[in-house]
Amino acid sequence: MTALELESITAAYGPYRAIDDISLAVGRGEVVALVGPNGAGKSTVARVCAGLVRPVSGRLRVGGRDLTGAAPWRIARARLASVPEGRGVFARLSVLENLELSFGRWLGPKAVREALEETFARFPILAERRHQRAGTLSGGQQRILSLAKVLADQPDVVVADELSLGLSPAAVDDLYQQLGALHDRGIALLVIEQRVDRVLKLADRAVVLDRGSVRFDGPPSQATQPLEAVLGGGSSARPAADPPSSPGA
Amino acid sequence: MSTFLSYALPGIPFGCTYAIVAMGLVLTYRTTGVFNFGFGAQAFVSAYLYTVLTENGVPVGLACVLSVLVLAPVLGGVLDRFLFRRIAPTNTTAKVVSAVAVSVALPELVNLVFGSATRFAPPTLFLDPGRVYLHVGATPVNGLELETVLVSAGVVVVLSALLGASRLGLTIRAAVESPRLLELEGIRADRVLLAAWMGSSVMAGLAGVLLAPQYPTLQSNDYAVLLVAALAAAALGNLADIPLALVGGIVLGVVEGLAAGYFSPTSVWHTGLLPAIPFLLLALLLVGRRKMRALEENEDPLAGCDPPPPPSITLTRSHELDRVIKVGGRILAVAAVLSVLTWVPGDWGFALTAGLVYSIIFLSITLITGLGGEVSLCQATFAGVGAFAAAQLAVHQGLPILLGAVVGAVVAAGVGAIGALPALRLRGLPLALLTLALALLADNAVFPYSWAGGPPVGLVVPRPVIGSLNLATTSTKGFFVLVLVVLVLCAAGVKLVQRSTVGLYLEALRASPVGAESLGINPSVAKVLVFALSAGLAGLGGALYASLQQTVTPADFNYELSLVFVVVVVTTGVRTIEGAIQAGIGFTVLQQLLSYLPGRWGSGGIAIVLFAFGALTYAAHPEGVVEYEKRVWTERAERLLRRDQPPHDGLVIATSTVGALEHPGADDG
Amino acid sequence: MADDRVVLAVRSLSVNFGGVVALDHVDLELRRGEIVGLVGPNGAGKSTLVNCVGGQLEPSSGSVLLEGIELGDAPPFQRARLGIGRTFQRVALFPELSVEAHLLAALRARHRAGQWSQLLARARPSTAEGAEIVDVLNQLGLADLAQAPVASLPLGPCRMLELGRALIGRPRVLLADEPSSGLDRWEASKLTGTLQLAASRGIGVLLVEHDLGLVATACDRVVVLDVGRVIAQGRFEEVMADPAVRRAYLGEAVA
Repeated sequence: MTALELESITAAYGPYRAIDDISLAVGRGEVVALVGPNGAGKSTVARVCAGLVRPVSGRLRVGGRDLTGAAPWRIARARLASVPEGRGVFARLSVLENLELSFGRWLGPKAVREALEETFARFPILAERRHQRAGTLSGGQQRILSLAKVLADQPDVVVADELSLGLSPAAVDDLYQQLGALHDRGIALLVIEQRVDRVLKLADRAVVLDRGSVRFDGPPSQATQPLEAVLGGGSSARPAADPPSSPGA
Repeated sequence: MSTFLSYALPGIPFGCTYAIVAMGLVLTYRTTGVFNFGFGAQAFVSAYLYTVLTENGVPVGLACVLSVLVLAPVLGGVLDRFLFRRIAPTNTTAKVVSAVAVSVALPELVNLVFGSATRFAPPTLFLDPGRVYLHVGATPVNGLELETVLVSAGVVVVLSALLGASRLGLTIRAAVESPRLLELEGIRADRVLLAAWMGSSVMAGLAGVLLAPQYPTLQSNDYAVLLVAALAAAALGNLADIPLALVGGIVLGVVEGLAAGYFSPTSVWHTGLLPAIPFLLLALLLVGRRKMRALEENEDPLAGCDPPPPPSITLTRSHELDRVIKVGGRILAVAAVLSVLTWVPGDWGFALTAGLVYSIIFLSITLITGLGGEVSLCQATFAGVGAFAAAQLAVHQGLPILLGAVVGAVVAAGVGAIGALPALRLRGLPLALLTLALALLADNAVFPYSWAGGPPVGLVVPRPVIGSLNLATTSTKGFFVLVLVVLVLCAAGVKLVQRSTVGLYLEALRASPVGAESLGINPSVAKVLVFALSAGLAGLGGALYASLQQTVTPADFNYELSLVFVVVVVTTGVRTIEGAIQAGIGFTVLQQLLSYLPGRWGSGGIAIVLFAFGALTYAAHPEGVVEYEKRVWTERAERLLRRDQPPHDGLVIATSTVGALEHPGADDG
Repeated sequence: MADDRVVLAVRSLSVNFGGVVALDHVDLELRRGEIVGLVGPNGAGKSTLVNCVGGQLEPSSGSVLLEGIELGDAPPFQRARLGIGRTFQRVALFPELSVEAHLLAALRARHRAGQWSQLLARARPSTAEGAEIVDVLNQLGLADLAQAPVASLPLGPCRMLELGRALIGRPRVLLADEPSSGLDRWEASKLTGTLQLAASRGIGVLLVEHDLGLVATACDRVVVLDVGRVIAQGRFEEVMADPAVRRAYLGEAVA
């Protein structure tokens, strides 16, 4: 049985189609890397998994249960933890309140305190700023907070969208250690990344996405070549993005 | 000292009535993210049911339960489900306008359903209003006063306990900021917000029932006045702190008590300053407190999940259709003008002329809200400034009314520019509240003077005389042509501004103030400019309105009219010139049509209700009803035209364009 | 290339956020045509420094000088007119406006003081402005997208446009706050080229960046911040060899 499965998913934003007939599965305890150029539809896959974007067609299964079109809270209760791209924290709550809100969902008051202590020991930068409003943290710090919220959960599968964005090299190292630890705990991961080298080292399997479709699905060691093909391989030959059908132009 | 106490002490129970409403406002704002201008109206609805029930012999306890614990939460739930839930948490304009729509529609709706028969004060909840329960010093305290104070104290304790410590408070604050992000935590944000609306509506119901016995008759206006006075008390608590709102209410009551006591009833302070105290205080708090500025600094972290707003349909429709619509529109407009000049009966001619005048005033909203991106709740006040200036100059100086209208527009523009100065650092809700405070200040402390708004019976305003042509004698037809010319000139002017460099700057500032300022765009100049232009237009329209009516009274341009204006224009379409003109003509035509209906259905109230229901669609279609309908009909027409061809842009647009949706919204806070 | 004229000087700049020290007496100089990389762990104060120079944030003490002139408490729009261009960590574009309109707004706002005079000036580029806009569009590789509304553009072109918007009208200083964040490799290489071109035209560039490959290629000099202080500065290889930098920024697993 798979932890997370997308079957022939097509999703659109209004008239704009973002992903087209994508099938993708993450087995229990498996780490899958989802890579590809910007605009390929990676974030849309993450949003469909979290229930933030309802697919036009296809099926979504979490832990074997069909949750196509279900609200985000229902998917979250099926033990899927999602770290959305960008600022996935409550800007007007303090760092401490953000963590309390997350931890309180699974844990009792005493366990919340323990989890907080553990988190602050792991991320001293959060301890230092625990009473600061999360909105005033830098971009990288907000990513750390997003990750910290998920780490104390006990999900079956984590979908993480561009977690390393804006992180310093040391923080990226730490992040991948944490992801490795999640992997060791038997938690399945779908990791969307721009930093291809790091994620391919961690992953059991790699999926390359381009222009809304899957171009490759297989072992990470063989992903480099198809990835170079869609990224333009460093040559300047990559075609410019098509001009959108600009209204009234 | 004893004089001081005898003036100050009666202010406390009076201040507690402010405080109850203020605490309710803060509660709604904190738990739903909506600053609920409709709170007074909701209180009125519960008070109305309570009064009707007790009049018909239902015991006080049961009546109280039915109106506070049944009707109020149901009403709150309905508002949440059908209105506020559809508004994005970051869309301040939509939240302000929808709440204002509720505040104008609910009382009118009650009047429509139950008629406007006078209802007398209902009984108090548990204490005898006539009996003096205790003396503080030499001041007696009766049951009504004691009840108010006791309930205020009870409310502050209960609310602080509920919101302060618990996980509930945390969850609600998270739901207000981003329901979707909360759902990712596995919590049903829709339930949280529904509960918050129901809870805060119970508070509104309680306020209504508690305060009803204080007034000799039950009138929605008393609740509206109470609401605006309570704004100041709520502002003292930064709209977020419930105990501070209580303190604010009491301070306000005491200050008013002292002012009423110490100023001689005949002095200018008593007539001018006293009624303005809450609004002066509100304005000062809004301008002076740093925390108020940060109120609306909010962006949805998950905004990237939404499809981008569709471009205006006039830009995307096919060429042929565009031509058909443009030519057809012109033919229709010419036909309408010719009709008014020939066969249309006089009352309809008058209504259409009034529609054109309203259109001029509404263009001022196109400028300030459509282009400037800010909600102003004092556009009727600007119109009033223009009208009164023109009227006073015509009556006392013998200035021709058209020249007076121009002077009036300039004066209004000046007032607008000066009014913008304290607002330079404000945006969104605090700015809307400041404009409301300005409107109320004008209503209470400026317009009532005969040098400003004229005598209470009104000023007689002449119709223009152009050369040998007296527009008063040639029915309204001559005036219609004049107003039409002015409207066309104004519309052309607005279009010019929209397309100018300043228009570009304003669009940039609206989309991303930080980004715009980093290019060298001065936000202060832009704000003063847009306020001055908008106020000038409103002033010109106001002067023409006075001349059309041939009379103007101090109460003609009160703050409620500003609220109605905003609801009407925003509902119709605030971004386009057509939107303003359709709003103006639609507003008067609808009222004229309704005048054929019998009885209370024929009053203007139903027009307001209809437009307020229009605001329901506004929540889902922020581009405005007109723009939305235009899109729907254009798409239908295009399908019809191209039945046998494949659709020229169907669902699939090049996938690369979708990349934009793959990263969070391009606006920075 | 870089000459000796200092365009931007930061003197003993400090910022406190309610007790937390974000910047602690930071000094920094930027010369004409120089690209200085500003790196450091998350929360070191890099964006805070950029915001102080751009005027978005008021420092607690210290000063910022542009070509020797003290900027004091000048608001952001004045600094922009004096020659400071900047980009933002989260792009701050105007979604409904076209690419061309962005550049036109930037060009006019920076060069023509006095907005009253522009009330009736058509928002359409003159011949001279048009030429300048086309020039920038070509540099950025956005020529095909000139009329596209920004809401329809992917992140890559958005970041490039924001850069172009900051560069049009030749500022003296460019502040680029993580411009490569979220870009793929191909887009990042295009970005590097644009930054180098700007520097070759005499613009001083302050580049906040985590992509060390980009920093190594583009920057003449690197400044490392940690906990609000400058802990090292100099050439890329020297700085990265510094044990303090390795400890604070690179972590143990240095590649």
